[in-house]
Amino acid sequence: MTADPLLLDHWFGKGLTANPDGPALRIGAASWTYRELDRIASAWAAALVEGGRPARVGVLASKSFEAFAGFLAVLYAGAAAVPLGPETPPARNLAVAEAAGIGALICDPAGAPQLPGLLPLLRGAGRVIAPRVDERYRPDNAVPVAEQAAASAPGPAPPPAVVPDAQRSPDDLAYLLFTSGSTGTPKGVPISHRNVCAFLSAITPRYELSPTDVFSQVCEPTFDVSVFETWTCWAAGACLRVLTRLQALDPVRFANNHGVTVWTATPSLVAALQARDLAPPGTLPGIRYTVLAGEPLSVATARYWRRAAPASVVDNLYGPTELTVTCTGYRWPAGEPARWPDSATVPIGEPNTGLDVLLWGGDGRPAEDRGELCVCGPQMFGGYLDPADDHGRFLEHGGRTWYRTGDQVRRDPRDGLVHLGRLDGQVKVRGYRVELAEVERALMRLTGSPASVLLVDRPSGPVLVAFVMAHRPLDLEGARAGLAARLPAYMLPAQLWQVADFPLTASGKVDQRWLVGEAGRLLNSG
Amino acid sequence: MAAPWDQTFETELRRQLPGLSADAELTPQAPLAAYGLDSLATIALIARLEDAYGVRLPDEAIAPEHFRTAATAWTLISRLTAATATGTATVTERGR
Repeated sequence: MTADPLLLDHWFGKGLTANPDGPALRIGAASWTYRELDRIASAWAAALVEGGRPARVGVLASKSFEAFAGFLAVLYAGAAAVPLGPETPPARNLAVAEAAGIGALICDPAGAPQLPGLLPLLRGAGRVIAPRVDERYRPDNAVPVAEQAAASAPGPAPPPAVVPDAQRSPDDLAYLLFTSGSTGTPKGVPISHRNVCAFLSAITPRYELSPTDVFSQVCEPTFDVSVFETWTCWAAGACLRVLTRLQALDPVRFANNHGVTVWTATPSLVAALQARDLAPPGTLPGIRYTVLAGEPLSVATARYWRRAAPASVVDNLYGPTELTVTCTGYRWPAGEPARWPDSATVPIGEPNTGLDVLLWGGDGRPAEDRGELCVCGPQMFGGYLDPADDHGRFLEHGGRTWYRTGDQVRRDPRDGLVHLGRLDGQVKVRGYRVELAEVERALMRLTGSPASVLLVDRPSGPVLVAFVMAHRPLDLEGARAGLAARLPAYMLPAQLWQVADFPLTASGKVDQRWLVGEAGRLLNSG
Repeated sequence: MAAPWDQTFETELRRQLPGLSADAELTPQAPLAAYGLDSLATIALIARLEDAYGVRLPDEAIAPEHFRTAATAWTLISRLTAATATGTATVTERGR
């Protein structure tokens, strides 16, 4: 048995060796084999390093060919990928690209309108790869790379590595993702090859996969569950089938039509299917594995999915971006665990191989069965892009450094770790982390008034709503537009209400229970 | 002016538009999202329209741009029903 790779792109190499002429990627009616994807990524990587190797490369793309080939090309170039969302407001992408210090850009047609605005940020040679971008947006010095089909001709030998492995280290960064920050600016999370390879070494043995498997790909590249979808698939030489969010809401059609065997989703997506009964019992017979990640999973939702896909193993995976995709996992037992009520939360289970966990009690000491989940090991990132963000996030204990997740958990002797809730104002919307404080700060800046943002449960899933406290008339429409220009869509409150006063609790804090009740009343009357 | 679509279409579409009152007119260009057609409602609408008209939407037709307005949705449905009636192949992508 050979040792696991220590560079992320070498996991693609495993798939390339196992299934060179099989499909690596399918988007709509288009398809690319492993060999084709490898050739194109190599050509793009060669273009990226010409005139100087960039340290970080922005990939401004949705779930398009450019996103997947681009990410691979950036790694082949010995650089770190910085995914940027075409639907993210330009101001936020600019802030992220500037903080990351990107030296080159790869862009798809969806990202094109934002491309000109990002060009002034590029350092060094400033290469741009945008083969399908309209001339209106494409800079004159864009690299004339071979388009998809042109590079697909079969040839004798694979091209040599663009950047020799000897010039690369597992401690180099593989990618940089940005998450919502409570201070009001997004936090950069740098993930090294060592981190993500440790994740893949821990996660791939959970699944018995082969080149005949087909993975669904639903998550945007800015959300790290996409790292699970893409790289566990490619490590096995399997086929990555990209689905739009609308298509993912119709698994009975799309999973069956495309022969999907490994289905990945956020619990909120499955809960949405459940709310409308869009996946009746037995309608998903071909799914072998279901991986749910990104948010707490309710027992009712897990049961619903099990009935829809009776042949599927169901895994509930947990982890913050800082611990590289997922760091614990729980496998739903084969027999129905009737002892759980529908309203319970599925455990997050045991830590990945190689990781140690510690429950930190409220008294500043390790606790036996309940506390803040702290994790240490090779999947732990090395600190935020801005060291100021490290404050309070790490714990020194027993001669080791631990990452404090901010998640309150208890240890169950039978089921492992069970998630109890957050210790702060962080919530999850469709799997994305949202710091309520970040939205509140943005609202306060726009309106000049105190604001309170909360997550309320609706039949179709949780939604963000916001109250602004002011006696004078407020331009709520203006505030709404202002938010949309600054924050990504998942951070935008669905409703914005003005109130004259926030009732306070006895301890002088804003009465959250009153706000929740008021929000429910307003939503129902609307 | 009479609506450019038939009664079945009107009934099925209204069923998925909680924000459109029964006595309000459904106009061709009004954005359906404003009446509450979210992505889940879109999936439900597609299933019901397929049953009602005996057609199967090809994968690429299951995209938000086809369900932006009543007019875009009706254009899609009438094109598919016409193709079925004349025996023109409506290519449905099949999995392996």
